[in-house]
Amino acid sequence: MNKSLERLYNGIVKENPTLVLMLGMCPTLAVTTSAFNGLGMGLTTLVVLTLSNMIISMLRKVIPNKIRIPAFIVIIASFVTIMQLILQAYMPDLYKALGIYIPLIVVNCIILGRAEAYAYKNPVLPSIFDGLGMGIGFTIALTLIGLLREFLGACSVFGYELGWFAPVGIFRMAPGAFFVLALLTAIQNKVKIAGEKRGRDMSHIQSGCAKDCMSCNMICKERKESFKDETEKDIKAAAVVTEEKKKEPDIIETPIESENIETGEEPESIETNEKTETIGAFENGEATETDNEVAEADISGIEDEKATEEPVANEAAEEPVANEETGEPPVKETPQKAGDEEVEFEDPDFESDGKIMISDDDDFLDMEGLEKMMEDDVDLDEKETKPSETEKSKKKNRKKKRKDKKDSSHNNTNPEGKEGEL
Amino acid sequence: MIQIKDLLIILISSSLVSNVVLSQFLGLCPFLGVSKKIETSAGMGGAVIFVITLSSAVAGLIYEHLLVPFGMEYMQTIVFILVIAALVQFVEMFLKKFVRGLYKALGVYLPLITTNCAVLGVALTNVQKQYGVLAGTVNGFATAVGFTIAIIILAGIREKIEYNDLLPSVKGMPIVLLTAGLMAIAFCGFSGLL
Repeated sequence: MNKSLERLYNGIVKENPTLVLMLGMCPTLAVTTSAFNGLGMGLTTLVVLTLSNMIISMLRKVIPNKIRIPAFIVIIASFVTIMQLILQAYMPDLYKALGIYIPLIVVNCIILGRAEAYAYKNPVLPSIFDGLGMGIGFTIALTLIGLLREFLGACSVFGYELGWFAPVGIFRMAPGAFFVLALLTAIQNKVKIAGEKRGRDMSHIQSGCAKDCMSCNMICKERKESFKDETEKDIKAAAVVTEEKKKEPDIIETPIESENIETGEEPESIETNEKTETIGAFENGEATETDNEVAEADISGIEDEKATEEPVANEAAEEPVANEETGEPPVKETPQKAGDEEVEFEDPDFESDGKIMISDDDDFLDMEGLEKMMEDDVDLDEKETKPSETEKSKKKNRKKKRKDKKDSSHNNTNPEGKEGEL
Repeated sequence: MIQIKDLLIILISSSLVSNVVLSQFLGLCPFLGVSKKIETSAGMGGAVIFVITLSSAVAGLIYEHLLVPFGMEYMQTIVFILVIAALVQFVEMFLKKFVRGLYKALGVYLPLITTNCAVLGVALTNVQKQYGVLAGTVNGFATAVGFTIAIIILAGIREKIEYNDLLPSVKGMPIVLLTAGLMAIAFCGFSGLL
């Protein structure tokens, strides 16, 4: 019972999906033109979320891991269709006001994210309460935003005209939603900065959908804990493999895992190949990759600036499966790498240290990382801290950084890493 | 019969007047997340155009020839989203094998837009407004073009904002949202176009 209450508290206060996690912004902005609409949408989402959490949790041992995302979608879409028909029959005014945003509940980050992060891994009762908590939190947030917009935009509350002042019409229209949300996120940022100054962990604020709804990698404590054991096992396994590799330096045809973990010489093509593979494969709900993603991301301790490169390296290191799926045997990639321009996203300046560097930043689809892979290495951090740099000095800094990286990799324990790298 | 005039009206209204991102609030997640640089935004926009046009065509075909004859219109949500997800998977694999150049340019973004609100939203709007297959496809194309315009403009502005002095709590999302709001006001001006 305690766990269920804790789930409720989590959803309403600690990890409120709209106010803290910033998930599901599309319906939030579109629907909150009035408090009543916000309330209606929130309650509809609450029902769908709770029911789908319940069913998914009941079926969690039956649904195979590889097709879990399509399975979730079918379950959620079924409930949404049921709710849509009910609303259409019994509350036609609300149905007309919400319009196409009712079926769009299916792609709401909150529902898919909670299903994957919680309902798939936990028993039925806590899942129900998790859905309830998140739904109530979402409803409260939507109603508040709707109240604010309605009050400022039409000087009315729940349709009841107040007439205290001449309304500021823009708040009821599209731009007003953006302004209200900007105010909300500014308050969040202020709270986050203040909290971080006092040393509290504020990483869950605004951690949600900045990427896309499908790959909503929710930073949930439960998920972190459940993967801690696995990550420790991985570290131990990798360490063992590294030691074995040291003893036998002459073997060339080693399995791709040990090769990649030890030397990190793995060509960018594999990494980026793997990354795109895993992105595509993630669509199919391959848990192994997500598991390892989260596992890697959750190893606390070593942080790296170029963090995205390392998780990709390890991703590919532990996932020879993905390579096979595309029909390209891993060994073939090495001869291809040498100066082959057809290989996608090849960045000749990319180097990895060969150590298992894990970042705190467990974004699966880190757009900054992807951008770095696709274009030249513009360090966004540098941009923010030294805005007055000229192009030349930027390039100098970039080269310096690369030099530093090269130097640090010289100090690597594995001399073979340098040989393999070109 | 659909006339060219009607198609042109759809083209302009879906891309500018009721812009998918600034008026209808669909596709906000990638809009806010990917718009840090113009190149990536252009790539994202290209991928969006590709996916939405294709999927609205396919969804329209399936609706007209599969769901309506069997009286299963209520299944549209489920069918559309599964079809879209499968389609994007196949497209990605196909591009990877046969059209490497295009895959190189767009491939990273394809999974990002699969369950984007915008794709499903367009498919559902086509049904709601009772467009046929051709008008639906044009609607999809126009929606995606509107998305691309909006995201490239926002990326351009964001690149400049990088060098501005801002309050620490306003940096990041708040200033982007304020910018988007101002853009939305600007796009409101198009409403007198038709």
